[in-house]
Formats: sequence, C-alpha cells, structure tokens
Amino acid sequence: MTNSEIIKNLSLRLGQSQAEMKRLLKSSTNIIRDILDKDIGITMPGLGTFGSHFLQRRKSFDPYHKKFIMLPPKRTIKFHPSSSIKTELKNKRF
Amino acid sequence: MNEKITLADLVDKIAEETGASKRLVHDLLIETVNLTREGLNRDGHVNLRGLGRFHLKWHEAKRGRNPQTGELIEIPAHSRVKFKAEADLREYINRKYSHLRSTIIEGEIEPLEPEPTDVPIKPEDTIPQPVSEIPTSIQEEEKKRSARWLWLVIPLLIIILAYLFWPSKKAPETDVKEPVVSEKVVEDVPIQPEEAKQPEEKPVAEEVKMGTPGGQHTVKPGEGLWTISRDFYNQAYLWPNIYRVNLNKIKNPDLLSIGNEVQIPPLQGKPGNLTQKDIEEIAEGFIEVYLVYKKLGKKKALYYLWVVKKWNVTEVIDRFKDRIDETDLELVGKIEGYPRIK
Repeated sequence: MTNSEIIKNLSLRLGQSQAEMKRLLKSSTNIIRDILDKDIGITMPGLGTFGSHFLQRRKSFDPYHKKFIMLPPKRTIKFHPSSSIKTELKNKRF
Repeated sequence: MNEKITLADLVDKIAEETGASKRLVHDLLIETVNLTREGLNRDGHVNLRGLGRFHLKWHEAKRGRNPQTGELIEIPAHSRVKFKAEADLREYINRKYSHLRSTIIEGEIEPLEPEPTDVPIKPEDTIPQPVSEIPTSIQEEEKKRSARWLWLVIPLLIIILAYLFWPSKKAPETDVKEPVVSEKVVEDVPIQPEEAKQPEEKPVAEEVKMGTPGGQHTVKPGEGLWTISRDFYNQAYLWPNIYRVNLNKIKNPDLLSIGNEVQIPPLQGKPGNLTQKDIEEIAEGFIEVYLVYKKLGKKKALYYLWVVKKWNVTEVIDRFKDRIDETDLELVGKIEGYPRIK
C-alpha cells in the first residue's frame, strides 16, 4: 500500500478532503520525527512502539578492501510490533 | 530510550501544532494504524512517507533452544513485521554525526574485546547441562560438522605458516616500509576532540575531517572523485566539478591513480546555495563527463547531459554545441523529472 492510497482511504473514511488529510499526515510524521529525535519512544496502539537507539562506534570488517574499519557512532530507529499485529500476521506469506 | 509518549499525548501535540480538532487527529492516527494493518494483510508492505516502510519477512521453520531451560525446540515457520526508517528520517536523527566517516584501521589488528560483564562466571558443575538432553544423532551431526571445519582449517594454517616463515628477500623491505606509512597517516589526520578526551583508548583510527576546497589533494587508496567531492564539498554529486579542472590528468573519471595530485576548485557559494557562476562551472564539468562517457561508450553519459539540460544553462550548452550530439539533446529534453543536485 502506498502513501497516496492511504491518503485516499483516510479522506473517504473521515469525510475530509485529500489535501487536508495530506497536510495532517505530513505534520503528524514531522512531529513524530521530532519526538524520536529527542530520544522519546512512541507507542501506537495496535501497531507497535517506535524508539531511537544509540550505537557506539565499533570495529568492523570491510569485505571489499579486506581491512578492518572503525565505524562512527550513529542513531537508529527501532520498531517493536505489538503482540496483536504479530499474531494477526504470523501466517501471512508473500 | 527511557521515556515513552502515549497516543493521547501525541494527539494533543499534533492538534496543538496543526490547529485541527483532537477528535479528528485521534481518528486520523487510529485509521492510519488500521490502514497499515490492512495494507500488510493485503500486499505485505506499506509505505508511510516521512516515516518509513513496513514489510513482512518470512522465516522458515528452524531448530532453536529455549534460553531459560536450554532445551531444544522446533520453531515453526512464521512472518515478522519489519520496519525500515526513511532515509530522510535517518539522516535527520544522525545530523550530529553526518561529518563522521568510517576509517580504515592501520597497523596491527587487535581482536575485539569482549564486553565486561558483572555476572561472575559459574563453574562448570553449576551450569545446567542441556547437552545431555540432546539426542545422540544431533551430537554426532555436530561432531561431524566440527571435523569438517578442522579439515578445512588445518591446511589453511599450514599455508599461512609456510608463507610467514619462508625465507625471502622481500621480507625486510616490507618491515621497513610499514611503520613509515603508519607514521604519515598519524601526522596527516588530526585527532578529534572527542577522542582526545579518552586517553586510555589507543588512537587506532581518526575520523577524516572535511577538507577545504581550493587546494590540491593526493589520491589515497580507495578514493575516487565521488569520495573526494564528498569530503571537500560535503556533496558527492559535485564530483564533475573536480573532473573539469583535472581533464589533463584524468582520462577516465571512474579510475584514479594512487598518488596523483588532484586540484580541487573552490566554490563561491555552498552546496545547496550555489551561485550562478558555480552552477555554470559545474554544468561545464557535467558536460565534460558526458563527453568522456560518450567516448568510452557508457550509457550513463546521457544522465549527465540530462542534468545540464534541466539546469537551463543555455550559454554553457551553446559553448559545447559542436561536441554534443543533437539527438542526445533532444532525447534528454523529453525525459521528465528533476535531478536532486543543486
């Protein structure tokens, strides 16, 4: 499912214009982004929990140059699906 | 991540920011979650712009072990919901570390130190013995596997030892050269202030700082025009600008010789806020890249012409009119979209 399909369906279900839905969805994702940037997790009931994690710098191996490298520190976004979605989609195969 | 925000708090924030009613925002979030579930059920993947992509990943049945009892268990085949954050989101939360690059560790490699654990190691007697519960057929299988590995490892070890202790004339030369290289690297690269705070850590690798354009750069192993442009301009896409001033030294922009000195032309503006003169010069570089790729018979040549065409630098195109293929110009004019560069 693409973003445009989501916007179309939202406008049908909530009885609002597509432009309004697009605006609200965009500002919602921007707010979620800012919350994650502050290292705060977000729980969406029925979907799961989003959170940001910090990875320290670490040694790794570059298979192309065949040399050890030092990877810089970075932050990643983690998603833990809720138990209801896990059980619902457990046997789905595509 | 210690703190968590609930749906109600999120609704309040969004409603405050957008001016929409709380009811509408609440319904929007709930429906978005419902649509995501429906999308995963229908297609197996959902794209949410600004956030990322949800998808299902199938895992085949496998044998595992219960971490509490050590008992062997059969894990049935199942699907898992995965999420990959959008590149923009990843870049946004990593903007503090965007200047850091991975560096090759010179000198002797120390094995990765195991993380210190506070839990004391139990004596062998106290460890639960899950092995006894494993059927003998599995034990035999594992033994066979380890035996196979041994047969592979032993000849490898013999070859490595023979190579190390074989008398050769070249051996002393390499011994002399190695420290010189490592010294040079340490001199060239300044130590980051973060690393200077930790004197107990060995400065195995220093982070490469962004260079300033307008000088010369000696090509190091593993470098290309793309990486040099990234390090000097903080924008890899501007590499044709470097190629433009080094036409005599570089015959194929995809291949650079180690030790070659490359001139880095300065920019009047900054990447993202380039002046007209910069754009014209970079466009000239793109045309030069188009010409050389065309000469080498590479299909990607057209991409560079397309970029120039989209920039509307007619004066530069007119200057190169004799050398640019007219059919290519027409073809490129029909392609829709806009390049991300500039």
